[in-house]
Amino acid sequence: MSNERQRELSGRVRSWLREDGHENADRVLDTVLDQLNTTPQRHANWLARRFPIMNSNGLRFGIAAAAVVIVAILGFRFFGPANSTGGPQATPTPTPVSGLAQNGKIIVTDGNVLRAFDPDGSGMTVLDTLPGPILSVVVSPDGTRVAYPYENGDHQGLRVMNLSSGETTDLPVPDAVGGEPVGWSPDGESITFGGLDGEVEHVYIAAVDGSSLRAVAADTIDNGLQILSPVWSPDGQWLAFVGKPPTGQQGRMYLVRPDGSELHQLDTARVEVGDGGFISWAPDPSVQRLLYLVAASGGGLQVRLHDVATSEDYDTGLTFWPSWSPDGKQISGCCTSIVNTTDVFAGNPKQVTVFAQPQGNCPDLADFTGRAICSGATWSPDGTTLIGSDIVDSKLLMAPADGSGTPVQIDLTTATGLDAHVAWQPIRP
Amino acid sequence: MDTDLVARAQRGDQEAFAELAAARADRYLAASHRILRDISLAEDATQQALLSIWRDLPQLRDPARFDAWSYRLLVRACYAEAGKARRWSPSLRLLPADEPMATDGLDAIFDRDQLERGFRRLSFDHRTVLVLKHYLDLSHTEIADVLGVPEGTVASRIHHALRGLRAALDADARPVTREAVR
Repeated sequence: MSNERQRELSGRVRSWLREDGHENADRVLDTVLDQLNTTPQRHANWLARRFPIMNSNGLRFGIAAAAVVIVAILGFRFFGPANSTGGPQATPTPTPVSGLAQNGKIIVTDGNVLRAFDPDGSGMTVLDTLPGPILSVVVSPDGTRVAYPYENGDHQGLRVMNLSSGETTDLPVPDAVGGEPVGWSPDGESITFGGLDGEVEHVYIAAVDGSSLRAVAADTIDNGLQILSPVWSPDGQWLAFVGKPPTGQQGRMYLVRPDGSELHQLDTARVEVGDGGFISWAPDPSVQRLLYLVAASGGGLQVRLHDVATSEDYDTGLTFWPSWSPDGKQISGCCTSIVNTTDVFAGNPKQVTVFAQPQGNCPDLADFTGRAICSGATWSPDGTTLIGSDIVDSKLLMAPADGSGTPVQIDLTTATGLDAHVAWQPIRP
Repeated sequence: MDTDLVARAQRGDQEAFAELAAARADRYLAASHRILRDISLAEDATQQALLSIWRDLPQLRDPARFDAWSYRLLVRACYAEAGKARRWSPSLRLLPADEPMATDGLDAIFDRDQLERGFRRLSFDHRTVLVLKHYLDLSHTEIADVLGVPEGTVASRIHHALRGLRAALDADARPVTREAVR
């Protein structure tokens, strides 16, 4: 529908909705007021009881301080190891998470420019300049390469850069490439992505040296499905992806072996696709857990955690933009809230807000305490810091994951909010 | 927004809550009526929303956000009523129109009737987002806050809602055209 027709219809709808009669709610109101005495108010958590004047700066500081304490306590005392539930029969003995990586470069898409910053947000360098906007960016698990799809006129390209040498390789691609973040194989030698060949979408695997491109399970995946955000499990045994019919905003989550065998649909609710985030594997290769989004009652979104091995499904308490912490023991979500996975498994996810409670999705408040990361947070490889784009300005916002210290703003030039994508390079010994 | 009134109601002051609710109840009922397209469902949803607002008010952290927060509870209540009813039958009565009829009254009635039928064919999500935008005049940011979705999703839902409405209107018009040809 053209913009002009859409505007015309909007005007008709607006007039029609407003010309409807005036409803009188007196009867409803009387019924409600009659029930107040028998309807006790639900007092909030202990924070609200302690700080009844909820909009004071002092309270915001109090909440932030309390959040710091909670995070510190949870982080140092109560974060037990994630439930290890084993995996499918074919899963080999996994490599346990053995210490976290150190923080390398922060890689940021800024329009058609790929930039890098030092771990403290200083020392900006330009890594690459593309003919069109860069659509997403993901660093390989070993931190040596970065992959980024980009627009090139009416085509999309997919480029891989060696972060040590700066050498780039344009991968062979089908007719079109999805703009979602690509999935890296654990060894960093291959990537998986959704692409279009003619009129059929496939899950593709490409070698990062550009030597090969193949469609996975091309004969068995329903060729009427749109393929979204394939991602490689950290143990290398599975690809997960969302297959969605051409209409609607919901699809199903599937697993398939990288060799194309054992394709099957996961028994989960329908997966909501859109700009609320992508499916993602828990980083711990000893478990097979996926985050995904569903439509929540009330019209919102809900981040759910699915354990592939047990088929158990959990509500994380988060709404959208989920992101695993590097050790897989925490999950962040909109907007800079964090839950502990052990609480999720216990059915009692408790959100800790890293910044003070934001207003709305992404507010522009006068001070840092009200700001929020507004395109999904990226964790630093050492798990201490969150970074994301601030929807208000052409800036990135970086802050300690426990809410302590002062957030740092990093200036960009062209990207705002959702257009900026961030990845953080892990440095492994 | 009288934040003092909200703060008093948060502390259990029933008179303050009554004042808050009285100033908004008509608007809540009108919005839920437009979303649900059924006055009895809308009354139930409004009643449930007002009770939820009273019950959960102490949990509202910022009184200045009362309106956006209350709309969220209202939309939830509408969802609950829609889920209970699941009866989007075509026999539901049309909304009353108190406005004076325009000079081209028949055309206006026909247009309203078309919009009513088209609107009913939309999904709950799409009806809701159009009412929040075009009846309650909320911005995309505010709608995102009410629905708990990203702003981009709001824009997408509005786009798809209008596209769906256009398709419904076009489909509605087709039989008439065929009749005319015969």
